[in-house]
Amino acid sequence: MLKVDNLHVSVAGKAVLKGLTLEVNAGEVHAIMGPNGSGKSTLSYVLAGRPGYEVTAGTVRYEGQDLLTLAPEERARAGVFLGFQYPVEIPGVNNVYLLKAAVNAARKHRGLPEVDAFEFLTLVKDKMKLMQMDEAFLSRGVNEGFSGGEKKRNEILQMLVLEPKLALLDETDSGLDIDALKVVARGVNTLRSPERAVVLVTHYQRLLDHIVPDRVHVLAKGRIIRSGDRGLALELEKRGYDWLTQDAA
Amino acid sequence: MNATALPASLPTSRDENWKYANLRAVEKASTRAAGAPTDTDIAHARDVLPPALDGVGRLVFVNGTPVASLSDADALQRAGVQISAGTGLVDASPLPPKAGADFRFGAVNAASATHAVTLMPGRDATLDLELLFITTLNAADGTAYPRLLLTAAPNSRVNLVERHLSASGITGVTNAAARVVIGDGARVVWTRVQQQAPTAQFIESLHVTLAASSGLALQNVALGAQFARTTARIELAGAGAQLALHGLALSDATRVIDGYVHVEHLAPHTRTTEIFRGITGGRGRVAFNGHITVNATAPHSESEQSLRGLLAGALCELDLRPQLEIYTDAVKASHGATSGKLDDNMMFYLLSRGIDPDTAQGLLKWAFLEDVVSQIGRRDLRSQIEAQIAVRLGDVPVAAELL
Repeated sequence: MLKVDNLHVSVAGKAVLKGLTLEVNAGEVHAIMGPNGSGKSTLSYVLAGRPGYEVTAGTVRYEGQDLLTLAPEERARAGVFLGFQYPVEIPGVNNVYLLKAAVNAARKHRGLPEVDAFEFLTLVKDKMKLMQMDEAFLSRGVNEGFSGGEKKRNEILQMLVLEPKLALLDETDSGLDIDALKVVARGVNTLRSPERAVVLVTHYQRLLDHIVPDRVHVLAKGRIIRSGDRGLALELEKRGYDWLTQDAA
Repeated sequence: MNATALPASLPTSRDENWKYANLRAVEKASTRAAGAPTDTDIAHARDVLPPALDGVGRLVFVNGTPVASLSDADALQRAGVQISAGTGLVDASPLPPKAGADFRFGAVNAASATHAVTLMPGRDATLDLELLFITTLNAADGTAYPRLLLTAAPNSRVNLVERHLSASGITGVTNAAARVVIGDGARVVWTRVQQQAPTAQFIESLHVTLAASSGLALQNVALGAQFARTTARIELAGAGAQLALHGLALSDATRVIDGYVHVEHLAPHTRTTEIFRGITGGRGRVAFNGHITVNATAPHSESEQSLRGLLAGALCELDLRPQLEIYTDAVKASHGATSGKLDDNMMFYLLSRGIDPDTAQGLLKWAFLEDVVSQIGRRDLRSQIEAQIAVRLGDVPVAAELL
């Protein structure tokens, strides 16, 4: 589904990713772990198409097409979803409108008519129950006045409504208490299916207790320096990153 | 027309508070008060009448003359609305002292208006009313002079909607004026909307005085006209008087929307909240000068001001000017003005959800104006205004309809 090959990315002239290679197949959950400043968020942003990230070498194929030539909105409609580490507040644009506009944009892309308003609200309210969110959130501005945990739940809610093929979740666990972490993990696990893939970018192992990954990768200094199964995450939990990054240097 | 009452000269761009105004078309137009509307004028006015507001009587003027067939006679009678006819209605409406160039158009209105609507709700009374001023004039046909005199008795309650519209494609001038006196403890909610054709010229002069413990919530929505200018002077003359002013301007093409609002705190414990949001695009211009004076006679007053502008193009212009003068101690005052482009982080967030760039921009502009639009308390009126704004922002669907 996703094939990243020798990706080099610069931000403001500074090289951040330096030859990253990663392959994610449908049905898999991959965890990307690494110390601060290793390029984890850059990878998420560059895959989602954020401006300001210059690809200087390498390729990214998504379902056989060149992902890097697509505009951010085209990537989203093709089924790529980014769950933000710091979701932005947009006062004045309400949550339910954003959800509906996003669903309709994807439907239009697939040649489908606009979603029925009643069915849509029923669907959204179901997903909100799963995420233990109050319906009052729907009529509030996007993330406006939400706590850190509420913002992360809202990201997962959007993901559940949009049903992407490839979900990139950028430090979705940061700032969550253990109860919220379980709710978020349950949301992500709901989406797991043979047709979908999830890439979890995380700093800590604890999320992986609740969302068990098929593969774990360590990203350091702009490259994947070690890959393994879930055991690698547990080892990192015990030993930290230093032993790996020193090896890499 | 009472020609002797006309000021010696109109303001020009050399006058400090008029430097962003574009008065060329106004200067060329006929200043003669327009005659009574013809059946054709009335038919054109009927075409642009917005849907009635629930439970509110309506008084419609066409080219400055009241038109009974478009108005709600029973409701007006119940509300005690009076209409005085004639010219030279100067005495009924003293201009602010030391107004200088600012109120010269107001003086022309006073000298030239053929009709004035007078509202005098009594002590403890409640008045709900909509005033609609529609022009069908072209530049050579004369000027429309809408004129409003509101005196709210102590402890009265007034909910006033004032809208200025026009037939499409007209080039005529509207020179509107209002004098509002709010008595002790009275509360006035005044929602004003200007949505004239993009070829029209619109100038208005507002002079408001608030007595002790009274309150005015003024929402001013400027969407239309080729050139629109609002000049306002608001005096907080009685102790504890409160003003909440929310202004919105939306400019595009070559449209100029220019506002100068001078709020004077004259008594202790008075309070002002002034919020302005303006968006400009194309070769348009939005200018807003929010001038607040806290006089020596107004200790323990509070003033909060937030002026924000959004540039939605490379050739447009935004001139926001917060101006705060304080002549007493023990004042709480905050003011700020920001101008900028759409937030890149918000834009990317919307794009990352699959929303196309045009819709995303429209949504963010919509959100920017929401600080003001959300203040409009009447849901039916707010929906109508939101629909107007949605069309101007490129058919952004009105989000409120979803729930």
